[in-house]
Amino acid sequence: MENQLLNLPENEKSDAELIELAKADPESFGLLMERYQIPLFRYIRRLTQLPKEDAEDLLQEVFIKIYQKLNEYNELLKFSSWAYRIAHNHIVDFFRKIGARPRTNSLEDYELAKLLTSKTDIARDLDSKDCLEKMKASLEKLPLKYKEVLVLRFLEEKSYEEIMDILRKPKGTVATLIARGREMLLADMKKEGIDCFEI
Amino acid sequence: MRNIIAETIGKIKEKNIRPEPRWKYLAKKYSVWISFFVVAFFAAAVFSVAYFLVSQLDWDLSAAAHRYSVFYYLSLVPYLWAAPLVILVFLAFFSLRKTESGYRYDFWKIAASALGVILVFGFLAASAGFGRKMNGVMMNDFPGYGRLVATKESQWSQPEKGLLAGTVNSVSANSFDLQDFSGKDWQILIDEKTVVRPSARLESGETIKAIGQTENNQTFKADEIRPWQGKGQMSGNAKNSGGLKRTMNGR
Repeated sequence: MENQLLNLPENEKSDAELIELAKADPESFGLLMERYQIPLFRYIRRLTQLPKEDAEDLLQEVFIKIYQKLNEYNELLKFSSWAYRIAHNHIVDFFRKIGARPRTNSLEDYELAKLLTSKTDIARDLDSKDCLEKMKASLEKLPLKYKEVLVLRFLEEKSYEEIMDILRKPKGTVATLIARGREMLLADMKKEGIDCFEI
Repeated sequence: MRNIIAETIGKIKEKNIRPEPRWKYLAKKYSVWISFFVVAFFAAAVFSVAYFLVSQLDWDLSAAAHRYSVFYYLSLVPYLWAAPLVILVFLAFFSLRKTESGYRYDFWKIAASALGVILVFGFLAASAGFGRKMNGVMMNDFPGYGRLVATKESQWSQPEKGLLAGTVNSVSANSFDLQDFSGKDWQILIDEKTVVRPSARLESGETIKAIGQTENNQTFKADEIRPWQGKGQMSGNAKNSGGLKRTMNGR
């Protein structure tokens, strides 16, 4: 099987095929890393808001963990969901270890708008810098469990099923967390008098 | 961005990092399932004892034994077994939730599955007589056990509440002698209003149950006599058979 896989051009190989190759040869793992380094780096950055270098260190640790767990991969899952799950768990462990909360102050302004756009009428005017700063502060106050689902749903644009597989939570719980997270974010913005979105 | 891919491959090679063997993953995966079945097995064993205790009781005596039927029913719950059963059901639920795909199912599906497995195993254990045997072992080997659970014997050893059972010693026209489970002798008074259930046999050596009230420390006036097993009703329609009960003057 390995020989057959090796004959395929690299970009045509599926994730599952690359996993099989990577088990035998770490160089083949490079192909998988190439596919996922940008989305995983972006996810780590969005959730942790660490400086670029620190986020890259974390990404490397995540890749090593993925490599060590290659035999655990279950083909019933999308590889990306499984990789995000490992990244998510690593981030949670990381914050537990350093005893800090993830920060939000390096989210891009357009990303903040995405958190609010779906099903709400409030993200109409994001011109005001002051307003965005206040909104970041509100987002920072959210517990990680709400923040992570909002990031996965609206910034990573994952489906409910994918979020369910990443966080290992039932679909109903995911839906509830998303709805509550948004409500909490909006409520805090209202409380802080952030009225630039015509809430 | 620095070359994370090259750095990571370099680190993997340098530290000779290898994917963990698959057996480790499989051992972890199956250990969760094994823990579920072990918990379910114990839960089923506990359930079978609780079921045995509950099934042998008479549940239609609330009017005789308690002013409020809800207290009567609560007094019959085998808490000694129900409490660990509740804990084991929770453990089974969490074990199932911890399986590889357990998170994909909502609370009710997981709860129903855990309960379903426990009930199936539990009824199998009960029908194999495990509950009865276990209860017997507990009765014999743990002296205080009998006071902690409501048994049929304890249920019918409450003459002050109008419930008395024991072995018939001798029978006369308007009374019979009975020795209760503690060895105490009673004279049971019967008259033409006393209902004697069809399969209750007022003969020496028979074990019977009596519902009524105490006249004094050794005399019990019976309103109803039942056989030890069941209510003493014959099968068939109660209204039409006319054989579900008989009074003393209709014997």
